[in-house]
Amino acid sequence: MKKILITLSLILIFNHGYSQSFYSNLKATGLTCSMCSYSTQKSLEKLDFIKSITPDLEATSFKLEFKDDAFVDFDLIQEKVEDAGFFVGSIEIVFNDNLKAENDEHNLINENLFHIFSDQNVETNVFTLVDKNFIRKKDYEIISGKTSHSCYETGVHTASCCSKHDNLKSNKVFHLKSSL
Amino acid sequence: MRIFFIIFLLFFSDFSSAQELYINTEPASLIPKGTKVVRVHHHTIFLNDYRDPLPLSSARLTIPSISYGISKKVMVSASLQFSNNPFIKKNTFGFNGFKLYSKQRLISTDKKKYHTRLSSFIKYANHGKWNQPNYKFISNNYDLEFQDSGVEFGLITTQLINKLAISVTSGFGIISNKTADGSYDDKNFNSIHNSISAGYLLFPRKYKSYKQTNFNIYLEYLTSTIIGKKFPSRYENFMSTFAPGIQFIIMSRSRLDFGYKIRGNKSPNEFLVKLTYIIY
Repeated sequence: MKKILITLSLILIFNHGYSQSFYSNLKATGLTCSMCSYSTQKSLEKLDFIKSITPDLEATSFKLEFKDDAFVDFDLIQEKVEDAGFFVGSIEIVFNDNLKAENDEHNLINENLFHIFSDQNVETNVFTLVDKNFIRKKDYEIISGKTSHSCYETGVHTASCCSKHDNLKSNKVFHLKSSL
Repeated sequence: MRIFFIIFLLFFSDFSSAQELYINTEPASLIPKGTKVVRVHHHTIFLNDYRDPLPLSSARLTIPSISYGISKKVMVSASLQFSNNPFIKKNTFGFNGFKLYSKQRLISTDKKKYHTRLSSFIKYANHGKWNQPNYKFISNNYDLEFQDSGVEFGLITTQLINKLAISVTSGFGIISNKTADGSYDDKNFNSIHNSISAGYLLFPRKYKSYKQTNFNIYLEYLTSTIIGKKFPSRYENFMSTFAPGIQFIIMSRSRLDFGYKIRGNKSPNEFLVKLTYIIY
């Protein structure tokens, strides 16, 4: 029995490989009342790739958990926060395990293609979304100067810029940095 | 009146940190896109205060309204007005006007628990049935909110820092009190309307859940100035109103407001209750 179980587990592990997953901490700005936070949450709830939203009203932040095998469109998250009348301060992406990511490389995690910037190739599980519309112009320009990949400008996966990935659910590439 | 202002300054200078869901004015913030806000106001205007010995009953107004967030930059609202007619013996209650309103967000800058907003607005009010001078709730001043007709447009700026929100509204009004059937034609005139509103969040001190009832206090000072020399002689050209109020926000989606308006120029005071519900 024990042997069968071990064999089954091994088959499962090898068939599915190792699956990395992540959640996000969204910090919103301009919110000062629970009504504002509730409006923002209601607006975010319209996104079908979000599984659950846990608000921290005092910190005006939301923990967003995502559905398995769904492409997480951070642009849409930003749009929904702005529809409610507020802004995204920052989005933190927390992986369930440390990520062994090389600097300026692409990683397909679940259905999202992430382009990761990491100063010393450090291993960490907490990253900040550093796409153009999510950070200050000054910070964007600094990071922009350190990469030759055009996807940081365009936000889109192309064969010439990024590593080869077939059957992507979305051509969008989001950019992460281990520390900002 | 000055004492109110002193109390106002003393009170708010002590706190550094409220809310901008003002009872008598609109904030520069808009309602979220796709959201509907339904509201019912009830106003009681104490006509007897200054009309002694005339035994007038108080004016009672009920105003249902609906607002809709068309986009993150534009919202619209419409309201109907029903009231009694305290000037006739037979006590009637019926429809006597409507208002249309639109607000556009111009500038919005946010930081954590801090925001600055600038919006423009345009309002159209039609209270045609009440254009006869004898039927004005407030006989010596115009009031576009519930008895005069016309258009007003202007700017609103709101600054919110932690728990304190201050808002300033400036509007230009074109008041045209012509009855629909032309039986009475009052003089048209222009006016400038300014107001300053402050709101402070008293409770909760710390947010833990959407179920916590919020308690806000408000103080608003509203003025209207008739510009030009041609205006109905019964009106005084400057009017000021102090409006303190309290507000409960229940389950983060309903509001219950209580307010009192203390008008200058021996105009009648007013009590109001507003119930608001947000439909997402």
